[in-house]
Amino acid sequence: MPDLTTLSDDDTRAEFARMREATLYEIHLPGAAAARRTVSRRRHRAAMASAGLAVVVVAGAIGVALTPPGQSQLASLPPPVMGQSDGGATGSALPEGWLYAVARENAAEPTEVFEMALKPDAAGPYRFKVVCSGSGTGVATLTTGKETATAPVTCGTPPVSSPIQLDVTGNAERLELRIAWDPGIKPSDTPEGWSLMIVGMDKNES
Amino acid sequence: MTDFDEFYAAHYADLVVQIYAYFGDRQEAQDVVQEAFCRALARWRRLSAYDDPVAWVRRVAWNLATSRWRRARTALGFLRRQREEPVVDAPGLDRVALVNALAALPPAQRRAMVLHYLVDLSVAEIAQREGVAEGTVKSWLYRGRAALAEQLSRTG
Repeated sequence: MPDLTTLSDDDTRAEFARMREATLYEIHLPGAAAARRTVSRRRHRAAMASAGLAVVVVAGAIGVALTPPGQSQLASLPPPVMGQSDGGATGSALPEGWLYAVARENAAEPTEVFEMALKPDAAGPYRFKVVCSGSGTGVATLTTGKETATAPVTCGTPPVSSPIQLDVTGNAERLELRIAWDPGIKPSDTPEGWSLMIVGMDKNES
Repeated sequence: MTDFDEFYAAHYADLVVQIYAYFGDRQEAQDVVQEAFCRALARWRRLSAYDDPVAWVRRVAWNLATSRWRRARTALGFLRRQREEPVVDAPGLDRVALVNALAALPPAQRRAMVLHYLVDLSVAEIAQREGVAEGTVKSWLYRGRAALAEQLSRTG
């Protein structure tokens, strides 16, 4: 006797297909041109910003594929510069070393998790900076599931950078950075619009 | 037409459907997916070399929607406290029945259902993504289908 209390796999697929068709009918694509205009506008705005404060807000980006440190893309990227002024000499370059930047309007989640996919043969040291604006402390844990490193995190005004490093020795597919905040954490968004940023560091950086 | 244009045209709509199915707000889904594509464009030279750039865009959009949903939930919670009377989210008139039904599922079941039936991830892929055993995912899917059957039967 068929189970009448649940949908079969086929019926479920059919329901989702119906939902998809109905929704597609209602979707209006803004278009790739609109995306280009947005990106262009942001780059122009960043070019007009004070030198040394070129940071970009990304609310929770995830899914960055990291290359092994020996050929790391991060190794060739300049670190973000905060709170420094070079008189405009560097122009408008946006730092690409950042991986995530999160803005909050109310309060931090007790635990925040950022995940990154690793490419094959990803052994080597992975170094990050957790940059936090506001007040409070927490503990960052960087793990592949098999190997783990922890480091304290401090928030401050101006934002405080807390480094963390994990030496990945075996095969790993994912890297997870988890931050457990202590009670009383009070993030405050910077003028650039973020309160927490994760930055990938070059292996030679201190 | 550049390869980004083709990438955008090929994937924008489906990503909106996936985000909408999980979060229940179509306009929000369109907004966060567009924002995710903007961020993809800003790093397209690197992103286009990834094995699965769509997955990157999906995760960005998903996390954007999560952040906005949390802020909205917090704001709504604040309003509820101020009013001191129950405020219930009424089902939106423009939400299809399945999206309403999905909204009633626990988050893990809802996520598994969307990832399996819309994103076409396998049980193994979902298990790896969620950090759980495959049996757990199968259980989520089974219970999700049962819950959907009940929800959909109510709406007729």
